[in-house]
Amino acid sequence: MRLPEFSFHEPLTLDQAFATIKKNNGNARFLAGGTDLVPLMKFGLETPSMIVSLKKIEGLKGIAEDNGYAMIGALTTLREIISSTVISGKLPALSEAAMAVAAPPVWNVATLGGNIRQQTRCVYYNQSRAWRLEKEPCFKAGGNVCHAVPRGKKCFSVYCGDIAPALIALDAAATISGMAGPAEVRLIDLFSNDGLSPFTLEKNTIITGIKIPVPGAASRSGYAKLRVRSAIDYPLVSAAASVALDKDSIITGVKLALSAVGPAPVAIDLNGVLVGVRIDTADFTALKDVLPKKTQIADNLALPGSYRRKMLSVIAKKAIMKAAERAAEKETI
Amino acid sequence: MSHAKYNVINTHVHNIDGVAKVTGRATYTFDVKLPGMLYGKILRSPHAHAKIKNIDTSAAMALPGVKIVVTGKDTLGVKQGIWRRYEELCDEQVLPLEKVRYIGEPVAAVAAITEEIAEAALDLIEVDYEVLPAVYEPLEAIKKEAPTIHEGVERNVNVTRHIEWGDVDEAFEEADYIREDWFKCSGQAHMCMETRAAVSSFTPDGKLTCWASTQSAYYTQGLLAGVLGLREGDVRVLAPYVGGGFGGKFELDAAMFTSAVMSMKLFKPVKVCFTREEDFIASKRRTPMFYYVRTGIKKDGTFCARESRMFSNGGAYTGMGATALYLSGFFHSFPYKWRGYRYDGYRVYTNTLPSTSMRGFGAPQAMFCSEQQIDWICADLGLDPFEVRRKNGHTEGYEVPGQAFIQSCGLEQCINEIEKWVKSKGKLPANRGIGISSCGFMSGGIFNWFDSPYSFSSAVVTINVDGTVELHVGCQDIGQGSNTTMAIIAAETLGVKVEDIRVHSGDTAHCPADLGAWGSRQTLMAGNAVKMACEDAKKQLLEFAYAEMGINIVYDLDIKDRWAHIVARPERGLPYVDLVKKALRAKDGQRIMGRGYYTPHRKGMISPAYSYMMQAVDAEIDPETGKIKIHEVMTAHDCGQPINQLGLIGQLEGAASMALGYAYLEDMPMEDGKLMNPNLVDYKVIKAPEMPEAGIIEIDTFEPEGPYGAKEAGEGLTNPTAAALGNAIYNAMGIQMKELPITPERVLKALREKKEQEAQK
Repeated sequence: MRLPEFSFHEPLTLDQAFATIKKNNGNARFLAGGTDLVPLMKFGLETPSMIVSLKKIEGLKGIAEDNGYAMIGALTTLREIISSTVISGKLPALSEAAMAVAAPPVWNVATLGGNIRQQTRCVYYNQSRAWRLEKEPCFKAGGNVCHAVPRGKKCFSVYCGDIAPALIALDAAATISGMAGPAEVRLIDLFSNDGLSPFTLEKNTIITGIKIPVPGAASRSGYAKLRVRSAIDYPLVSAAASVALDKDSIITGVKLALSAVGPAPVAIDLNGVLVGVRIDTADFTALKDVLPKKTQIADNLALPGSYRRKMLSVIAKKAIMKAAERAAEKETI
Repeated sequence: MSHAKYNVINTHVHNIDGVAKVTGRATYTFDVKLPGMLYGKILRSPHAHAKIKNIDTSAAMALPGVKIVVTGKDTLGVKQGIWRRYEELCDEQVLPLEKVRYIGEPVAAVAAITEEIAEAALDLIEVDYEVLPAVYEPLEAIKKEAPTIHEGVERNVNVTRHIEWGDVDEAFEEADYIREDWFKCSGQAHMCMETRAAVSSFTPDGKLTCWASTQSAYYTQGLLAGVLGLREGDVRVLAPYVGGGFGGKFELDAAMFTSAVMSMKLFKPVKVCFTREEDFIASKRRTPMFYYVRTGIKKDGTFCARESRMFSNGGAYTGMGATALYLSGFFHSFPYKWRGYRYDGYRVYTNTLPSTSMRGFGAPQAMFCSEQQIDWICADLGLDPFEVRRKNGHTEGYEVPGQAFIQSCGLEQCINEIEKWVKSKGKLPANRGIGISSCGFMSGGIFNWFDSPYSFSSAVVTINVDGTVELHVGCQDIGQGSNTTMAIIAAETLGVKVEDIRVHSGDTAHCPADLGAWGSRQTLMAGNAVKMACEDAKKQLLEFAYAEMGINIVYDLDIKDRWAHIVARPERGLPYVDLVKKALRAKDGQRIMGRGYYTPHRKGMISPAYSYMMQAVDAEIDPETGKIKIHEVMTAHDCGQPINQLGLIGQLEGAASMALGYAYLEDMPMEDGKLMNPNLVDYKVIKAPEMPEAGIIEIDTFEPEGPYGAKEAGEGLTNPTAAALGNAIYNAMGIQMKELPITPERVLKALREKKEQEAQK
């Protein structure tokens, strides 16, 4: 499978980037690490006539701690995130989520912004042009059917990002360039929950950075991912959690976000569940009750939807336990 | 058994082509580029079953840069197959004339000046299909009302195979306990690093040269000649480096065929390389099998009888499937003595990707069923699974009635060693278990369905003036290291060093014919041919040494480590290189040349020798997710005398990764005949984090039929693993896994059912 022809531009500033892309009647794509876009182009699912690389633009890279916030440039690679001791120490869910992406060679090129803004996936969609040829095009491919949910009236493709749920559990926000509206958007608000067009951002916008409040010592985070193999694989279900403890190891707050459960990551309102109990005596049975009863999980990833639905509470619990154990550890130090 | 001390055999010898490979200098077919070469692409059927009413190639031909478009009508329309002796099993036109029988089947091919143009031209070929009803599963396809896939083939039954010995019914009568089970074994992709690829160049002198990614240059030569109407001798097949085969690359493939057909029409070289997706959807696969197994046993653990029925999903064509059908049934009896044994195998055509041989050749499926059922029977009767295997296992001198004669057998030692290893592990934590499985495998097949008039293996050795050695062999190195193994055998036999040997292989014009790399045959068969050739050359050299040294004929001479000497008085001799020079002079300048060959005779129905092994898999199950973690794989292995020490370790580890992949990760799910995961994100081959420690305990035996006592090593190691994992899960969780692959949701389902059953009690 070969890449189709396209023109390639490497602007030096954001202004140049927007100017270049405006000239191109909308059939252009920004390129960061390319680990999502290039395979889609090989499959004929994205057919831009122009690629505008963001790599030479200064100021989009780097990790800094400033005034209680971690500021991370959108073009920072996953490798740089994994190597950062600030992130692994205070924002471990992000570190862990980055390490859960694909495999080490991918970390070297894949970027934070690109990972967040990856396309939703489906076994009926992420296939070569030849594979899709005799099948009626699905919603996401511009047609009117869903092969995953045969009577479905919408697209059931799955958001499979690892990083976004971690950022949601960490209360992060994204800074956006190229949009008329507000330049800072809460992570969860980036997602439209529509498989056809999974982001609320307009097409020719760029996430320039991520801003994460650095938690105090008593609050820590964790990420748990269910997948077939420990490398390469996208999540079948994943969860990120932040847990705050008081000095007696009693939970004072839990934030939980799920991924690979539908077209968008989901922030879970725990409704007080688990709060006020000691972590070592916590009863997780109530967790099932606060998890969404109606997800958009279908039979369109490597393992059946029925199995993935059962795993929601298991993986959510694993993420919460990881976070809580880390918070408890910090306490005793 | 005491062994002679060897200088080269079983020492630490690096792969002789290792440097070329790791520095990127090795020329694979993919790397071949010839002047004026065109690039070919194949148009494939999107339908599982359809009549080809018309193919309009005019628009594609009109595309600038396109040089030719061919369809079945441009070929001789030969129905070919590797079972050449049996016309009814030659059922595949590589470019079919009348109908397509699976999704991905080639229907036309294009050659153009670039790959991009060739790909674009595929879109311009108009095929008018009449879609026919299709059937995908063997148990459906065998029904009376199922659509007919091949005209005249009743109930779509492609081949049947009956194996029987002893009085089975009487033996069952003697059994105190009879157990029956159904199993479902999945398919598996060969997943060679190098996809199917060929470069064909037909020249005006009427000769064709074809570089091909093949497991047997000789088979490719014969098959190409057959479908192209050429003499075998006018077809030269070159396969200098091959990136893996695993049983999937010794039939004629569409890259070989379409490149040759187009080159013959254009008198230009044409290259066709499959994409990874093409390799997945259209290069055959491990045979999916449904097994019914009924076993009768006495209270004391003595096996009485076994009766099995197997239905395999043959897919659209025969390929090597007929052999897999036989071998699965034969190895299903392995490695035990049954008073009565009966197997009925049915290979059923379906409208899916054809199935064929793959590492283990039907045995991994057979063992998955047999070895698990034996453990369950042991549990049912309170018997020790080690003891039962020991009691019933093959021994030296045993004859599998009418099938095989066992000359060397280290099974009992294998069982003893693994028993010790398992016991040394002590009590395991919760949700963790060790499972065992024993098996054996062939050292090359005795069958000649290809109808080769040549001996099964041959070798020619020539000695240069400086003592360097040219070794010409027909056996095929496909990455498994056979060239290194042959160099080791040659160096040992001639008494020189490995670096003195240059191995020539993978060229039908310059190397003697050999059936190639399949069925674990090369170490034994080609190894015997190489040994014979080198002994022949050495004998000639030593004749000159006798004359030169003027010694009493009661002494015998040998060469070791480049020193020709009296065996009884090793200090008396002369340097090998001096001897070579003298011999050359004495022979009027003719180089010393030795010839060797091997064809098995009077060795039963299957193979001249059998390897034996027992494997243990240590696995842990997450009871919440059903996920499996493999901690360790340990194998006690009798391959006779190991020849290529590092190669053997590589084979062991490679087999463990492939067999574990088959056991719990790899699957080929289809919807209406369409493969759902034809890419390396969704097809789950094992990755580094999943790869456990794989250890080996070598069991010393000596196989009289093998070179230096060697027999099979490598392919058979894929046989026990799925069963051993199943048994590990059974020991850890008490659940019986009857379907492959053992996925997390199947584990959870079995756990849930067990809980429900316990609640009912």
